This record gives sequence, structure tokens and C-alpha cells, in this order.
Amino acid sequence: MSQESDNRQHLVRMEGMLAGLLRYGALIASGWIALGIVLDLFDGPASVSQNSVTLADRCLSIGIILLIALPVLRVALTTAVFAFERDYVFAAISGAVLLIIALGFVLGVIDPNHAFL
Amino acid sequence: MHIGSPEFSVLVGLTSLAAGTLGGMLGMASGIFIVPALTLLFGLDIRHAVGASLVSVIGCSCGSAASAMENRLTNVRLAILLEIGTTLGALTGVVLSGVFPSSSLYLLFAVILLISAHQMFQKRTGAEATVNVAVQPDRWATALRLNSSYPEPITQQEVVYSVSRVWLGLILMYAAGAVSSLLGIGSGVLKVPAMDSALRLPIKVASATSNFMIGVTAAASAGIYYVRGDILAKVAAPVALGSIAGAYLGTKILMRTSNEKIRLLFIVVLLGLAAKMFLAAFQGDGSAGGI
Repeated sequence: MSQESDNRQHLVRMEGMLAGLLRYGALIASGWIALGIVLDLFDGPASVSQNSVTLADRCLSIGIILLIALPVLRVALTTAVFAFERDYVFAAISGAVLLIIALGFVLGVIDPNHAFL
Repeated sequence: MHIGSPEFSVLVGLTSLAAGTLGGMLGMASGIFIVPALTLLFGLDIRHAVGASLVSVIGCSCGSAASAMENRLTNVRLAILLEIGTTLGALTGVVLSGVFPSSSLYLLFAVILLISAHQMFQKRTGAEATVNVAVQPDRWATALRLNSSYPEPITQQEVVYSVSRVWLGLILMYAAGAVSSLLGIGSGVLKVPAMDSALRLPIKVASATSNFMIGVTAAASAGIYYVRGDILAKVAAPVALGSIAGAYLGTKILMRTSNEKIRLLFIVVLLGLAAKMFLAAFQGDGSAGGI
């Protein structure tokens, strides 16, 4: 009985951590993107003709990369929490998810212009 | 109106806000609305539309997954198990994406939408029976401790549920992941009916758990799109910002409406999108072929 409620408490605590990561991560990423858009509006159309990377573009890229990385970070955090709680079956399961994502990214880097065929 | 001009950013942002709100309410990602909007309204290349859509899908998933988790609707353990299926499916989809012509993909998508709408409609008539009749306990669900409970947001009562047919669920998630990266959508539209009928989850749990998984599935394909240079910052930025705000609004509305209303709205949206996809499939050969 106490084992059951103990598990429940662990789960609730992990849910709180994950919710925090997703919420504040999305907020920070949105902040960078919003900053980029505002800077871009001040730059005006003059920057479009130039080929250089502006400060606005950098802010936008940081926000977008952060957003793409957020779910991956979430899986990494889940893996760590499961391992810490000695729930090795689930640590292995979420570690496998992490590995699959990494494999896809590596395939994309190796061969960026083709559909692997 | 060119990409990167102020009016472009504002219009794209507002469109994404509307799409995100609908997506959050239905427990599906907004990509399904954003790809048609960017290609049909703003005349963007489909690859760039899909790239921007994937980023927005992640944004939506993060925003609404966090809200749903705080309301304890998400089954985190089940989500992580099913993510094995969706991420493997996403990689398969990226590998296959060069093979299929886009018109056949639209056709496939329309058919899948119709099947989902049909499933949802059938479930509507038998909704009472599934709540009362005890679900067959699955050996795997028990071994992996997937069965859980959630507080019903309206009555505040704790509802206990068990998970059935885990293997069927994993296979369906693999298919949903493949379709997701083939068509550049979140495919919550497939995951929610699949979890509803195969795993017998309460619809709010299915919806919240789907939102939670969508981010990971989309990130698996978005990484590849980014490396390939198909994610344009000037398009993806307003789309992401608009849809994150929309998804937040959408989940707030989800908490206040009953299961039956969500089902009905879901069916209407599924049928509307199916009609649109059929049109796109048959027009695609003539008009979009020039790109």
C-alpha cells in the first residue's frame, strides 16, 4: 500500500518537472523568437537585399533550435529520472527513444540532400 | 507580399494562432491546418511549409502538454513506451518520403481521415458501454504498470482506467509516426482515435498523452529538416509564436467542455479535412505540378 502511494508521489513529482521544462523551455524559445521578430521589424526591408546574417536571424535561429531540442531534452530528463528511481525497464525504454532520435539526426547530417535512397 | 515582410509575419502569426487554438482543443497538432494555409493562402513551397509546420507542432505540443500534465491527464509511462513506435515510424517516414508522389500522399491522408471519423462516430453511440464495462486487463499493461487514474476536470472525481492491447497500440503508433513525417503533420488526428479504440483510454487521457508524444515525434523529423535547410527562420518564427499562444488557449477550452462536445467537433473537423485532402489529391496533378 505504501509502495503504491510512493510510486504515485514519484510520478507526480516527475510530471511537475516535465511540465516545468516544457512550459519554461517553450517560454524561453518564444522569447528569443519574439526578440528576433521585433529586431527584424526595426531592420526593415533593407536587410533583405543583403546576404549577411543579421542579429535578428541569429535570435530566430536560437529560438527555433531550442524548440526542436526541447522534446529531446524532455526524453533525456525522463531517462535520468527513471534511472535515478531504479526503474531500469523504463530507463531503457526512454533511452531507446533517445537513441532513435539521435540516429535520425546523424543520418540527416551525413546525407543532408538525399532521402537516404 | 514577400517572405520576411512585416505584414507577412503578422498574417502568418494570426493564422497560426487560430490553427493552434483548434489544435489544442482537439488534442491534435496544428500542422494539419498550417500546411494547407501556408501553401494555399501564402503560396509557399510545400517543403518549407512542412518544415515550419513541424516547428509549430513542437511548440503546440510543449504548451498544451504542460497544461494537461498539471491537470494530471497525461499517462507519462504509456507515452514513453509508445514513443518507441512513433519515433521509429518517423524515421521510416523520412526514408520513404522520396518514394511517394505528393498526390498519392494526399489521397492516402484523405482515406485515413475518413476512417478516423468513422471510428469516432461509431464510438459515440457506444460511449456509455465502455465506461461501465471493465476493460480486459492486458498482461503487458499490468507488468509495465501502465494502468492509472485521472481526475475528471468537471466533476473532480478520480476515474480509474486500465490499458488494453498494448502491442496493437505500438503498431498503430508506428504507422502514425510514419504518416506524421511523410505528410509533415503531428498526426494527433491518428493517435487519438488509435488510443481511443485500441488501448481503450478515456478520450481526455488519449488527447493529453497524444499531445505529449507529438513533440518527440515531430522533433525526430524536424532535426532532419533543419539540417537539410528546409526550415526557413522567417516563416517558422511567426508560425511557432502564433501556435504556441493558440495551443495554450485551446487547452484552457478543452478543460471546460464535455467529452461528447469534443468528439462531435473532432468528427466535423475530420470530415472537412478529408474533403480538402481529396480536392488537393486531384488538383495536385495539374496545378501544383509546376513547382
